[in-house]
Amino acid sequence: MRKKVQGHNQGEMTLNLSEGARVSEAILALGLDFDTVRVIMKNGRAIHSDEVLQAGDRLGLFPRELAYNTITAISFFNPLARKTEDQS
Amino acid sequence: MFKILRVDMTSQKAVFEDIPEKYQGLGGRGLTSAIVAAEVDPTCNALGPLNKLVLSPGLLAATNCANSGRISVGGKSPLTGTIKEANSGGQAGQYLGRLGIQAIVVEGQPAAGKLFKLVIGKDKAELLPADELKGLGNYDTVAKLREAYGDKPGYCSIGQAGEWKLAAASVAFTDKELRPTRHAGRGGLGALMGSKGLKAIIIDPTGGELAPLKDPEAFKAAAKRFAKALTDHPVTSGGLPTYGTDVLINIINEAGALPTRNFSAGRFEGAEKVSGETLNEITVKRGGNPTHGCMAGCIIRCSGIYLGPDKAYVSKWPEYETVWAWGPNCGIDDLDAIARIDRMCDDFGLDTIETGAAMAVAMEGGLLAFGDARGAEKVLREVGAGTPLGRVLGSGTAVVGKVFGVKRVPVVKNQALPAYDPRSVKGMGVTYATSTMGADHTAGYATGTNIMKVGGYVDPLKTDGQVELSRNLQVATAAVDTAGLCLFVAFPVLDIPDALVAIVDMLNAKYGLSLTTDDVSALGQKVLNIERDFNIRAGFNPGDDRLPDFFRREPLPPHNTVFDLSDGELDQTLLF
Repeated sequence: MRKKVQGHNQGEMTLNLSEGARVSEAILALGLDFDTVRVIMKNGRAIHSDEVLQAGDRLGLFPRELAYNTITAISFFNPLARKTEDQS
Repeated sequence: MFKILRVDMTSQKAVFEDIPEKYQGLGGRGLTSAIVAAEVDPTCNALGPLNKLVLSPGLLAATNCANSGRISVGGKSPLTGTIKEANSGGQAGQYLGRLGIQAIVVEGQPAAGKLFKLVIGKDKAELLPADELKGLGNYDTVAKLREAYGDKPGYCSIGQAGEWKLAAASVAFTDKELRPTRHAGRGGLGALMGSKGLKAIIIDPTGGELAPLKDPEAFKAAAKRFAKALTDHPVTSGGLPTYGTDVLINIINEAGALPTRNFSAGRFEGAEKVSGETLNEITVKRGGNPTHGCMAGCIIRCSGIYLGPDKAYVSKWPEYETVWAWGPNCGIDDLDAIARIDRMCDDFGLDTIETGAAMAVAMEGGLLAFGDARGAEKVLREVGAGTPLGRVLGSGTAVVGKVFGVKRVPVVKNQALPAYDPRSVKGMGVTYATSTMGADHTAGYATGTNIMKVGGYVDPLKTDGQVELSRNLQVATAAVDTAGLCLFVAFPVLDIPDALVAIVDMLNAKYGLSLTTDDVSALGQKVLNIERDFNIRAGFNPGDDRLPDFFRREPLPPHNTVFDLSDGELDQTLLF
C-alpha cells in the first residue's frame, strides 16, 4: 500500500485537509480506496463511522494483506468497507 | 490402521498399539490433551516419572490438504503446572501421519544421566543410547544425526536447555531444509522431554504413504476449495508470505498495544526498525528468502531466511513474538541482534517469548539497561553455557522476577504474556487470564463461523463483547489445533465461509463422517473441557484466571487505559 501513495517517509506523512474533513476524504486524498484500506485507527483507536478529523489527529491505515491478527482485524475493521459490503 | 506408539523409558521398550475407543476421532491437541488428562496424575511432579510427553499429528495429517502438517506436543507443563499443548510446524507432523502413527506417548523415566534417541520407521521403533549427543545444541545434534540417519528423516530434539530441564525449554523440529528452527515453544515441554532422558526422535517416513481416505474424490474436491481460499485471501497470499508474522509490529504499535520495556508503554519509538517491512527490505537486499514454508504442503509460506550483513545464514525469519519479546519489550531496535538471539534460542532450545519477557524483567531489575542488545546476547549465551545466571534466565519470567525482586512480572499461571498488551486489547487480556494454557495468545487466535455475529463491533479499549470474543476464539482454536491445521488458515476462514465448510468436508471425506460446522464448535468445547478438568484436578481454581494486578492499576500510554474486566466476567469465559 505504501507504493500507492506519494510523498511519505517510511509510511509516515502529513496531510493537509480542509476544516470538517472526514476519514473517507483523507483516504481518497491519498489515492486509496475503502477496499484496499482494511484496518483503520484514529489516534490508535477504532472508528465506527466516517468520523470528522481534527487538526493533529493521527490516522493509521493498513491494507487487507496485513490484517491477520483476528482480534485486531475485528476491532479495527474499516467501517466504510463494511458498509460497502452490506450494500452489495 | 493408525496406531499409538508407546515408549517406556524405564524399560526402554517401544510398542505399537491400537487406538483405544476413547481416543478415536481425535488428533493433534485434542488427542494430546485427552491422553494427558486420562493418564497423567494432575498433581504429579512435572519432571517426575508420572508425567507423560505426548506428540500427535492432526486429524488431517498426511493428506493433500494444504497447511495440515502441524504437530502437537503435550504433557503437564513444568512451567505452569497446568495441562499444556504446544504446537509446531516442520516435517514431523506429516511424517508421523505417513507412518500411520496418531500419537507417540513417552512415559516412565530412565536412570539418572541416561540419554536416548528414539528411531522410528515404517512399523518399527527402537530406543538407542544417545551419549554422543549429550550437551549439544539443536543444530549440532541434527548435524550428527544426519551423519548417521541421512536426510530422509525429520528430526525432533532438545538442546542444552531441555537436557538441563529448564522451564523455558522448547522441543525443536526440523524444517524442509533440515534446520531445527520450528519449535513447540511454550510451557517448558523441552524440560519434560529432558526429564524422560529423550534427546531426539528420528522419524523416517520411507515406505510410508498418504493417509487412507474414505472418499478420495470428495476429499480432493474439498481440498481444492480450501487451497483456493488460502490463495485468494490477501493475508495468506500477500501479507504473510511477503512480510512474515512480523508484519504485525507496525499495526500493533499503531494501536498502542505493543508492550514496550516490560509492559510499561504501548508504543515503541523503534518499531519501524524491527517491523516486517524492514525485515523484508533487509532480506531482499541481502539475497535472503522472504517467502519460505516451514512445512511441506504449506501454501502460505510466512517464514523466511534471515541473512546477516555478511550475507551468511543467521536464522529463519524471527516471528512477531520473538521480535517483540527481545525487541520492543527489551527496548531493543536492532534486527540483526534479534536474529542472532533467535538462532541461539533455536539452538539451546528455548521459548523466545518466555526468555525475552524474562530478559525484560531482568532489565527492570537492574541486570542490564533496557536497549542493551549486546548485553542481552551475552546473558543469553550463558543459558547455553549452563551458568547459574543462564539457568535463572532459562527458568522463565516468574523465576527471574523473584531473583531480581521485581514487582511487575507479566505472567499468568507462571507463563509470560505475549506481544499484545491486555490494557489496549482487552479481548486478549481475557484470553491470557482464562486460557487453560496460562498466558497464551494462540489459544484464542482463530475464529469460527459465528464470529462476525459477536455484537457487531468490538472496541478493544472497552469491556463489551470481549468475553464472548475470547470464548469463541478459544473454542475455534482448539478445533483447528485438533485438525492439525496451521492457525493462519483462520483468517481466510473468517472471510470466506466456504473455507470452514471445506475443512469439515475434508474431515468427513477422510473418516467417513457427517460432521457439520456446528460440530467444529462442539469439538473445540470438548477439548477445552478436558483441559479445564485436568487443571481443576491439578489444584487450579478461578483465582488463577487473573492478570497480575499492575495491569489493573497502571494506565498504559498512549491510551492510558487499564484492564478493567471484572473477575465475574472473566469467570464466564469458558462456560459453555
